[in-house]
Amino acid sequence: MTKNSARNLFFIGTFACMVIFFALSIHTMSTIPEFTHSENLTDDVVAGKKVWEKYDCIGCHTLIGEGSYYAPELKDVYSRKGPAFLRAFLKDPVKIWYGTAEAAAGWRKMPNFHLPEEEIDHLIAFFEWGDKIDTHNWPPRPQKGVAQATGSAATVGAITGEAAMDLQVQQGEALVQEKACTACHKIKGTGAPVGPDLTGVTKRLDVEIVRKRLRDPKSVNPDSIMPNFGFSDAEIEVIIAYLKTL
Amino acid sequence: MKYQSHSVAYNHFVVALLLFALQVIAGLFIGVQYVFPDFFYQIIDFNVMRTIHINLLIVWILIGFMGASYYLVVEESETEVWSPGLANIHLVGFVIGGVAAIVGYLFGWTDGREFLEQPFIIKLAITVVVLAFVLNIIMTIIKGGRWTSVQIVLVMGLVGAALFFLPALGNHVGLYDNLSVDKFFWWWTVHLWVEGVWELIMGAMLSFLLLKLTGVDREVLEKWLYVIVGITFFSGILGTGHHYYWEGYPSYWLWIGGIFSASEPFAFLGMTIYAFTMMELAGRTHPNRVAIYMTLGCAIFAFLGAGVWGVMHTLPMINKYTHGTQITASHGHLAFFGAYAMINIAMMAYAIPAMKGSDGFNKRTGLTAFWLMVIGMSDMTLALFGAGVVQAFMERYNHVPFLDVQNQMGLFYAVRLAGGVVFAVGVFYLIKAFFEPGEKRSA
Repeated sequence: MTKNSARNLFFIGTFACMVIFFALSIHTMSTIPEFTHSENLTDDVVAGKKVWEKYDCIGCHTLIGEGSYYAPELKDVYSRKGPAFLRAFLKDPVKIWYGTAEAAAGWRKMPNFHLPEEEIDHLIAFFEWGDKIDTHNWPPRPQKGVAQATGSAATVGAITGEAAMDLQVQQGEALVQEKACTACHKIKGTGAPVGPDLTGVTKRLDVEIVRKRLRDPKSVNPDSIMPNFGFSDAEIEVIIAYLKTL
Repeated sequence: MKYQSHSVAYNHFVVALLLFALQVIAGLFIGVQYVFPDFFYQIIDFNVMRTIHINLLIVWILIGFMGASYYLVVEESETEVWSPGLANIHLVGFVIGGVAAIVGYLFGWTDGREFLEQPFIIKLAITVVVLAFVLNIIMTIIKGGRWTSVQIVLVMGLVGAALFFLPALGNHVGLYDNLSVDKFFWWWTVHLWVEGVWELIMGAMLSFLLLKLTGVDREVLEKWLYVIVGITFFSGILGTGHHYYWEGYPSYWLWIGGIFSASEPFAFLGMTIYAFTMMELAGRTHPNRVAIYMTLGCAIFAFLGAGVWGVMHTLPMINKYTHGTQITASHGHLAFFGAYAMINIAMMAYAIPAMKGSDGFNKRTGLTAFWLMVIGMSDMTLALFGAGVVQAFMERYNHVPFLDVQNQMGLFYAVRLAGGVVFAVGVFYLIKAFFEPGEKRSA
């Protein structure tokens, strides 16, 4: 190969790759509405992206895997933690995560940006929209907890008596994990102090009260910020079975 | 000095080195925060200094490229720079813009998009500066009338860098309200710079250094330069797809990105073979050992950092678990150092003695700097790689929450910090070598 043929190959190859790249880019842009549900891209979401940029959030966090690796991935933070937790956390990160400043000493923690209420609303709207972007199931997250617990129990075979109780507790624990109850409640020392501690809750409160709260948090306390998770009766029973063991 | 306008290159090199030192200090700062999270918490938080760290990286690499380009073009064209005055003005402009951006970050003046955090007005200033620089380079080559292949590839790289900076402006005019659209064009600047046009700049500089250090026939060198940059673009342009796996785009990017980006190491492997073969062909040793070490070091560490460390996690089935972990940080550190920091340093190590005679660049101190930087960077890369493997396995694969994993990885970050300290000492020696006389008279 001579220098001239090498040069020509370079120019032709570059041109061809560029043409293909631009064509694919145009096609990708045409699929954006479908992949990102851009019909839900409200003014609040756009304002939320501006808040995200204003405080240089990407200087610590990653968002769909890009950013700074110092703080957690936030693509799916809305479905992992829910709006009630996010609101409480953004108002006072250290208190929600560690309880006190002393408990947080020596550990990684988010600074308090003293965000105005409105900016918190926008940020949560941005996370809620971002949560629905079709990223081919990235980041990889576990399968639903209950399905796992039931699946493993099914392999045990017929379930009676004590084994059935154990299974209920297992299912309840899995459900508590799946719904990230510790995002707001403490359980045996881990979790955030937004709502009441759940350790020994069935001993402090009447089980019927716990049942009512799980069915509709506002039915007992109208000011409760706990979301209604829409638990079925069966799900409520397994959660209570688990809470009784604490 | 043979050419008066070499002083233009010298000025750029001095500024680049000082910014490099500041970048490393910012790096040490956040390295300490990884180990002691309370360090300057709520005073200068991690995000602020991290932004400064990566912005200084870009600014010093670009100013280094500019200085090296002026040196190279003057030598290749055998003429003075078209307008040395313009060169010094745009250097001052770049420094003012850069310092304004850095100080601004300390006070929360930011656009909050990684690498492109510069506020709109600063981005516009950078655009003007870069255009003035590219104009000056092209006019100098036209004045000299010698369009060598090294200069053609260099100019393609510089013009490409200017062109692909334009998409970075889109967020300021409201084009990127949709996060997925934002990320798509963000990569046009970020990827097509570091895995595209910057490689052309690097290839041109590497060829220039090999020409000067080995005296091998120009025809042979330039042919292989075209082969290498051909592979760069063939793999790199469609290789952009390896950033498009998980961001809300069609799944064909998993195939295209995977296949083409997996070929990206061949360009770097080509450069390594190229550099070593030419050195061998020359059959004689150039007296400037520091320049030879830095040039070959660049060829090796660009291949390891950008090539091997990149291809390891570029396939979608692996990237699914490693994406957004410390593996990326490990790769980023070694790739930027090996490819772009070292080519700039190699150009300095060659150019300073060449323009100042025995007055420039102390050999012994320069070699100490080389080894300290290489050892320090290898330590950081391996420590972050270890952290990344643990993180990918525990967090992505076993679904352990982020902080539960991070809070147990203190040892990795302490080892990384130690490497950072060694590296910083190396940079201190590099600056010392830069200003010391070339040969010690006594001893």
